[in-house]
Amino acid sequence: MNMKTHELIEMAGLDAMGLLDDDERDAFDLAFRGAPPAVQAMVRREQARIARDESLLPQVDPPMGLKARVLAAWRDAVQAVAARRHVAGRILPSLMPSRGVSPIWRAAAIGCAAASLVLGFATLTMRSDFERAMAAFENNDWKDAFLKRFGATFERDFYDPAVRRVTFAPVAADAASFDGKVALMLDESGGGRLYCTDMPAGDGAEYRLVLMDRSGNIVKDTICTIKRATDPTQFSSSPLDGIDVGDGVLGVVAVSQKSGAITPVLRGSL
Amino acid sequence: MPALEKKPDPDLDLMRRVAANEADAVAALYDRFGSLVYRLAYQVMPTRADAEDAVQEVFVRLWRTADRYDPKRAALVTWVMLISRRHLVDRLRRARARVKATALDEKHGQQTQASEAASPDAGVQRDERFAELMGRISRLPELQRTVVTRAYLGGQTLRQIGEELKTPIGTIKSALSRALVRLRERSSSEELVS
Repeated sequence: MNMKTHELIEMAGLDAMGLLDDDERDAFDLAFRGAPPAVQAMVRREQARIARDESLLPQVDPPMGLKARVLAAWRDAVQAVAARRHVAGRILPSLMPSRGVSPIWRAAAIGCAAASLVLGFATLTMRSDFERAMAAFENNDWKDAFLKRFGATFERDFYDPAVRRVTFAPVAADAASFDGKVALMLDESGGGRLYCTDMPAGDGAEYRLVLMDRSGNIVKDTICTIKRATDPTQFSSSPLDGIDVGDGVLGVVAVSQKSGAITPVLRGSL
Repeated sequence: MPALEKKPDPDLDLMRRVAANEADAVAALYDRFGSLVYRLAYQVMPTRADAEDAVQEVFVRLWRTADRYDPKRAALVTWVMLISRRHLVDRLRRARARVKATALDEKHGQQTQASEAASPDAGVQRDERFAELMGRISRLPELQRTVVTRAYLGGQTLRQIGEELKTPIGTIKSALSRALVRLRERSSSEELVS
């Protein structure tokens, strides 16, 4: 969208005050990113001037002690995050030595140990998938591609700590050749948005979000189809509602319109 | 000619330290922006206690999003105020304590009281300067008064205001811009006189 400099400056003021709607922010963001560096600098200065403007704010000083309360609230938040990580790290209970116990308990312990090994292996595999997906998603190319296509709508989801991301990375075999990018954002209200960009058209391939097991077999076909559109696909309720993801992983498959062949192209992780 | 060294960005450095859980950095962030955020919260929230709670939440939110700060996109003050405004609007919506903007829509002239524009129980906690601001707002032309009250104090977007008033968004945008310019001009001239 072309926006003249004075329009960009006007929108910058409204954006700095948080008064723009989603599509207006999209338009502003696109125009800002496409503007010459000098105009971008002007927009930044104008937004900073408005943000610093205290002429419309009441002349009151923060109460004594507010700083201490802010720091205490921050420490609580840090500790809460650390505690969640600690709990998450205690998935596997420690195994105690089993001398002098009955054979039944010993057999049960051996069974638990075996199950723990399987669980540990599955956890490591999932973690590897997750880290690969996160690494790919955090890569600036991915973020920039989504920002370029969806602008502020994506930016808002990306920066909102309350939004859960389901991120996708190319399956290993196609990592070099598949350019498509998909991200599913689930918000607190139970809805969400599915973003996709650079999905190859190929022979008219249709892309679907599916649930796969660890071996890559499709467990649930077509959670939703993925449309190549300029706007993200909006969900009023999460497409994952009612789906037991369990030990599986979400994936994106390409379905050939000619042969009907189904090829996994992306693998995701909650 | 020696290569120019890239100047380190102190704002980016501060936010990286905030993201790395450095208490000194969070304290420094508060020292720089605490007053500004508090004034904004005080203006929008119905009570002083709500404003103080909101400031604490805003700084926690700034910490959570610190690693996403991009100095190429916006100055730090812009980022802080944008996060603050969004949080305050979210909080208002959650608490269903939105500013009762209709109070100013319906009551013209100077008799409009600051407390009526904010919320019924907020009057006692508004300071003189805020009452002056509300007085200045009440002297704006009707559309400008309505738009600035709903947008600036009520947290509504321009689209929402346009739909509710059945007025084109361009008109709403212009009215708001003109209103803010007028308010700033009056604020400056009153400060000069005093």
